[in-house]
Amino acid sequence: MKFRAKIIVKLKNKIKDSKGEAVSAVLKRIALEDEANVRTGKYFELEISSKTTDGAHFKLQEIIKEVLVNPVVETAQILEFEPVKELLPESGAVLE
Amino acid sequence: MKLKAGIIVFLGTNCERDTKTALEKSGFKADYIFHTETKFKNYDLIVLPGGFSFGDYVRAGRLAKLSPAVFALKDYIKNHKCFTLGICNGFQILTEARFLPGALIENKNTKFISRDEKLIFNNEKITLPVAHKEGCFYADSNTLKIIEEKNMVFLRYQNNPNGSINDIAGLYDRENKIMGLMPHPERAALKECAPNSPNNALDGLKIFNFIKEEILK
Repeated sequence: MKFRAKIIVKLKNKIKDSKGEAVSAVLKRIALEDEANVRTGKYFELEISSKTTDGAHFKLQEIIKEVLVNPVVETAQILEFEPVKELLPESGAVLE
Repeated sequence: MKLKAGIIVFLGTNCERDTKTALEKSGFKADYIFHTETKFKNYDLIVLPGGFSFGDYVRAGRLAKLSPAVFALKDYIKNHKCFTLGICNGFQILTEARFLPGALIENKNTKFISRDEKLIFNNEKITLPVAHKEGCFYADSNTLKIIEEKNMVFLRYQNNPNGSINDIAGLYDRENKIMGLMPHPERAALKECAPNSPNNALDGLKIFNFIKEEILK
């Protein structure tokens, strides 16, 4: 089965996000928001092949740990993780 | 006999030639190692040079740390007791691969900084060029405590340009002989490279000479 995951990687909250601060400063300057506290991140979409949902999830965690995130400074949030619809045997199949 | 240096070249590395020239001027015999290689010759020094390995995609140094040569380097260091040096992008790779503690994040001012920077190198004032966008060194308080206790900081900025914690510009793990620094010593090793700053033009050689002394210890 094929799964599609959407992941956001951000700097940990305690770490200074210089890009976010630059955007916050502009928002203040153009009088749209005085305290926007912008935090920026990186967005990834990827596909994972696995026989089971657990297997795919394990693979995803490994990918995040080894490639997408440096745990010293970053954290990842999985926004979406679901089977690719075209490959389901029947439409409407429900996945835990 | 000359000391031998191997320079790992990744896709997107662009300082390998300067590094080779600077090493040769410092008395090393140097050649290149492609990042797909896993069997290294007998080297006294392995260098991860500056550049933009794998386009800095995902994060600077992230994809390079997954190269066959970097995986092989771990065992090579253990078995050969060679000296490892990471310059700029090489330092980023060394932290991403956990050869050195901490991480390098985006500069405080979000800009790419490319200029000569005043530094303190083992209590001596020197000047070296820096050229980076992700050169702000970060470590959590516990890690930082260990770094300072182990006397790992061999290079500090005099006028911190990028927001690095404790003005850290370079780390040296004396136990395992692994060194990483953001400034470019190889760009201050030839008179031709810095004709306008004659006093400091060759400060990079001091770093390479220090490495030589450490290898020969």
